[in-house]
Amino acid sequence: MLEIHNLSSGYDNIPVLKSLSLKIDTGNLTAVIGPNGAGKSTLLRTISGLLSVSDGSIMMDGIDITKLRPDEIVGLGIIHVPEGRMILSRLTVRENLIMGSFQRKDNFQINKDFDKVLSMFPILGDRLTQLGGTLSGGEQQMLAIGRGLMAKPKLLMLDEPSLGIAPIVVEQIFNMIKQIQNEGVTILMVEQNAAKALNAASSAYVLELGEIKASGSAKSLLLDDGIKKTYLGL
Amino acid sequence: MLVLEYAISGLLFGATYSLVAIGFTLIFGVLNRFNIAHGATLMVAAFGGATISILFGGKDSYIILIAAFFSATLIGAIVGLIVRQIAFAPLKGGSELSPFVTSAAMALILEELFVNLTQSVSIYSMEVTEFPSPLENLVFFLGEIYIRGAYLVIFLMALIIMGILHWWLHHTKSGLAIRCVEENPTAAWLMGINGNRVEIIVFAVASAIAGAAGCLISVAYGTVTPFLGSNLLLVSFVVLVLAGIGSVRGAMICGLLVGIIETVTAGLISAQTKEAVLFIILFTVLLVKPQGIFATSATERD
Repeated sequence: MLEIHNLSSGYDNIPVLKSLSLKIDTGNLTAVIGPNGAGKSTLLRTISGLLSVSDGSIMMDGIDITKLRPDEIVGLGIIHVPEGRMILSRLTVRENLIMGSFQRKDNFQINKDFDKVLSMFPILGDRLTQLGGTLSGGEQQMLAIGRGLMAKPKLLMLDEPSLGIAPIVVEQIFNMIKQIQNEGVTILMVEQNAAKALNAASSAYVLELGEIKASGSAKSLLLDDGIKKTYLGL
Repeated sequence: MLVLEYAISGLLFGATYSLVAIGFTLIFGVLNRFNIAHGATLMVAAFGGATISILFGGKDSYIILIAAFFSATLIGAIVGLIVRQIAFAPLKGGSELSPFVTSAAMALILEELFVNLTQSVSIYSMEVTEFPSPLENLVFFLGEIYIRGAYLVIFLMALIIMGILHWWLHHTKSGLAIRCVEENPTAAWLMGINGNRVEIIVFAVASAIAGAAGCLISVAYGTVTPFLGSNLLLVSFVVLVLAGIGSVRGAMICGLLVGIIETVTAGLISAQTKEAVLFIILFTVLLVKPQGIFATSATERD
C-alpha cells in the first residue's frame, strides 16, 4: 500500500530521517518502535505532508505523494492521528467527529460511520455535546481515533496511542485498534511502548536516530535478543 | 424617558458596530493578523450602495434600497478578496506585523482614492455624499418613545446576518472548518481542510458583512464620506478589546453595548464627549479584566 524509498526529511535543514526505506502491506498493522527522538513522529509528519521531503519518495498505491499537501493526502485516504491527539477543544465531541469526514460527500455513509464510531467508543456517545477540551486523556485518544475513522481511512497512522493514558484504557484502545485492522483498515502505528506495539502488530520496524535498525515480522522481533534487552526490558 | 429613548436607538444602531467587529474578529481568528483595511472595505462598499441609490432614484424605492444593500455586500466581498490578495497573501509566513502595515497602506490608498473621486465625480459631493433612501422619514412611536425606522431596519438586518453567521459557523462543514482552522491549523490540515481556501472564504464573508454594515450605517446616517471606515474601525477596535479578541459572541454583545453608551452619552452630555466616555470605559475594562469581558479560558472561547 505505502512504499517509502530512501526518504530524508527534517525541520529547518536539521535532518532527522536519513535515507529511510519502509513498506506497508495492505491490511497489515505495522509498528514503528524506537526511543524518544528517533524520528518516529517525524516519519508520520512527513508521510502526511506536514514536513517537506528533502530526498527520496513516498508512494501510495502507485501514486507519488511526495510533494502533495496534507489536505490532498487526506483525500487519498491517509489519515494521521497526531501526537498529542490535537482534539479541537472549542468544538463539541460531535463537531470533532463530523469534521473528521470533512472531505466526504456520501452523507448516508457518513451517518452510518458516525454510529459505528459511537458503538466502538460508547463513552463518546455520552459526551457528544461536551466540548472536546473537557474530555480526559483516554477519551480524547478515543475521539482522535474516532475522528480519523470518520475520514474513511485506507491507511490510519497512529502516533503514540498509549501516551499519557491509564493502563486499563490503553488495553481498551489497543483492542479497538486490532478491531479496526480486522475490518480492513491498514494501520501504521508509532509507539514507545514496544511490548504493546509488537504484540499487536504483524510487522515492525525499529527506528533509531532516523535510521531503520531492524525490521521483520513482529513475532521475530519479539524474540530478538537485542530488542528484548533494549526495548522490552527482559 | 429620554434616557430610554437614547438607549434604544443606541442599541439598535450598535448592531452595526457588532457587524463590523465580527468581521474584524473573524479574520483575526483565522489569520492571527489584523486587517486594518477592514474599515476602508466597508467605506468602498457603502459608496457602491450610495452610487446605486443616487443613480436609480433610491429616495422613494425600497427595491433600489434592497439592490443597493446587496450590491454593497457583494462589493465588500470583492474588495476584501483584493485586500487579501495584495496585502496578506504575499506575506504568508512572514512577521505578524507586516500585513498590519500593508493593510493600513491599502486603507490609506482606498481613502485617498475616494477623496479624489468625490472631488471629481459629479454625483458625489466633496464633503459628504448623500445616501438617499425611503427610510429617511420613517418613524415609529413606542408609547412616548420615538424610534427611527432606519434604526429598526438596520437592527433587524444585523440580527438576521448574525443569526445566519452563527448558524453557518456551528452547523455547516464549511463554517465549522473556519472554527477548526481558528483553533488549530495543523489539526485542521490533517482533517483534510485546506487552510488557504478557508482564508479566502473568511475574507470574503467578513468583508461582505462589513459591506452590509457599511450600507446599513450610511443609510442610517443618510450620508457617506471617505473617512466612514476609519472612524468605524476605531469603534470596532474598542468593541473587540472590550469583548476579548477572537470572541464572536462577545463582539455581538459589546457592539450593542458600545452603541448604547455612545448614544446615551451624546444625548445626555454632548456628542464630543461620547468618545471620551467610551475610552474611559475601555481603560477601566483593561485595568480590571485585560483579557476582555467575554474572554474565558481557552476551552470555552467560542
